[in-house]
Amino acid sequence: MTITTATARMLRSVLSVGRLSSSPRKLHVSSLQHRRHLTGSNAPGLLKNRGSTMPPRPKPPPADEIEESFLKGSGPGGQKINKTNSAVQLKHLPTGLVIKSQATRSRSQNRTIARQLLADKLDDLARGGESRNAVVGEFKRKKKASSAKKSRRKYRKLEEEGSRQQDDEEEVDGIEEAEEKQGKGQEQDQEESNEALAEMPNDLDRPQK
Amino acid sequence: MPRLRPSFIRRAHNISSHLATLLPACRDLRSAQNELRWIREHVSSSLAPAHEHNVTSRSCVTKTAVAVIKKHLDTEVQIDRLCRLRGTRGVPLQYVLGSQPFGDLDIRCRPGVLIPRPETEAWVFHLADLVRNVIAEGALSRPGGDVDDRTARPLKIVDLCSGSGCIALLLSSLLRSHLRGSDVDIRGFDVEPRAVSLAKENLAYNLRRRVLPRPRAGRQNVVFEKADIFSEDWLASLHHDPADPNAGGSKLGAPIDIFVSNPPYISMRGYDCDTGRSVRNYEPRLALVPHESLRISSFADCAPEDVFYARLLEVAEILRPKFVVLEVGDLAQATRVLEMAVRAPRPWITMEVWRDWPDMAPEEGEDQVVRIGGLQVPVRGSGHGRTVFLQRGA
Repeated sequence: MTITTATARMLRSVLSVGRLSSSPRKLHVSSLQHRRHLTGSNAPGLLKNRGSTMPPRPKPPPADEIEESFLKGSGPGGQKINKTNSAVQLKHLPTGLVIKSQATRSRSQNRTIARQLLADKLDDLARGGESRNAVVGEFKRKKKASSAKKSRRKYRKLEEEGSRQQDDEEEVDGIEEAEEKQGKGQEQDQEESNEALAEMPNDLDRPQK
Repeated sequence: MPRLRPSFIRRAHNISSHLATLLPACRDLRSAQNELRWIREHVSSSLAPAHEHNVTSRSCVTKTAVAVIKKHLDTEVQIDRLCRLRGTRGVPLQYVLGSQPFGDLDIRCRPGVLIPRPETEAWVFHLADLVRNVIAEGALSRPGGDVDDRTARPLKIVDLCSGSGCIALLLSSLLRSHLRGSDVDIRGFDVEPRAVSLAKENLAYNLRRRVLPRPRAGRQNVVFEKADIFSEDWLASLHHDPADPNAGGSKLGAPIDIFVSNPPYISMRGYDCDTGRSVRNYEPRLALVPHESLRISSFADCAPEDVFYARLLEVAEILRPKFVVLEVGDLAQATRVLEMAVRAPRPWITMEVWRDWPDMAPEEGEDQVVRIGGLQVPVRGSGHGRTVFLQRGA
């Protein structure tokens, strides 16, 4: 199950990267998602907290538990050199976790991002499936799965209207309907994640708006 | 500079031809990949989105498809052009993209004006922390002033050789939250008209992005002016009484609170030997190396690369700031500046040197103290000696 969730998450992050948008605010989001793709971890707080069911965003650990390092050039620095590399690496001393961020061109922004990433990872370690990361991920995955299903149904309907198909198509639709009701009712993890995985390729084929 | 191995270039080319284009400037694959990502993000955010039609009829579908393909082609052409500028011509990435993030700010960058450096960003953050603590302790109040008086009085900051305006603007942004009820009054001066106009543009741009505090009652609290700090007229203008109605609107009024500067500090030899290629080829020499003529005029006794500090310390005597932060090239230059500062008619109660990353623990072999005459001056942080910090008693 963990493998399927991870794969679905990876696919999702690939999709988000491809969907670069034009507004500066959205661009920020997509760069965050790109970073998630690079580090293989979840980006903090990309979803609006609807109905306040999400756990609060975890706080970064205290400063004395973190060892921070920057990529130091061997050169003289300052005005003499114009570096664009602003990567920040954090080591969480109690656990030995190492987090690196080079998402932005700003060292100070990378420091903030790396700290939030570290907080998410520690939250994952401490609370497993109940961490914010996992809960938010689950929420997004469900949303994606249901919207994919909706759109698939819509396209199928359009097709049917176009070419006037026979009855057995209707039956499949009926089964799907029942499956969805069940999913909404009692949230069966196993089925849900398989479903998400099955629907991902569908999404990949369809052109992104 | 060692030549890139053809096998290395081929490897980059196998990933993306853009990477291979960027390689001569970036030198390693990791930073080439980062720069390509930033170039892509820049291009896709600056190009207008493909027009979205309501997909109802066949012709509209075709139109949308054409628009999407056209946009894709435009994007690729743009990316290719920018990668060539960066990789083949060696233009600094910040001039290619037109900006550099600096704290929460986005600083516009154009040829003719120095690009903000991460080391500068680090010391501005450190200074802002220090000033916040001092404000919290109430030590920046005027003698005899009660609490109301203190909150009403603006914090006066002067930035000489302000360039793109990054230091002044970041200080304004960082100190905003800690000065509830009072203002920051910042003056930036630069001799280069292009720098002054770019700094003004950066002020307006970051105000629009809402990362800078809004000016109160229509009064602009960050002002950039063109001035030659070596001219006698400018020095004389500092002596004017701020209460004097004839003095005009541009008076500073001593004493000020904070005096900062990132002046040109590279020696002629250092410029020829140590500077990066993109720095030498594209960034303004005026902002990097003190002009030869300055030394002959009045500061014949100090090294040519130190003339600005001699002048800045003179100005500091007139403005009587509580804090002075001057960026320097290395620890040796910091030591020379401290030697000049020790000779000041009125003594500084605290003198420090900050390294590149003032908040980080020093590494092995990094001295934590320098000797100036009989004095021991603490050296904080890790990296090269980067700033000289001076503080005067209240």
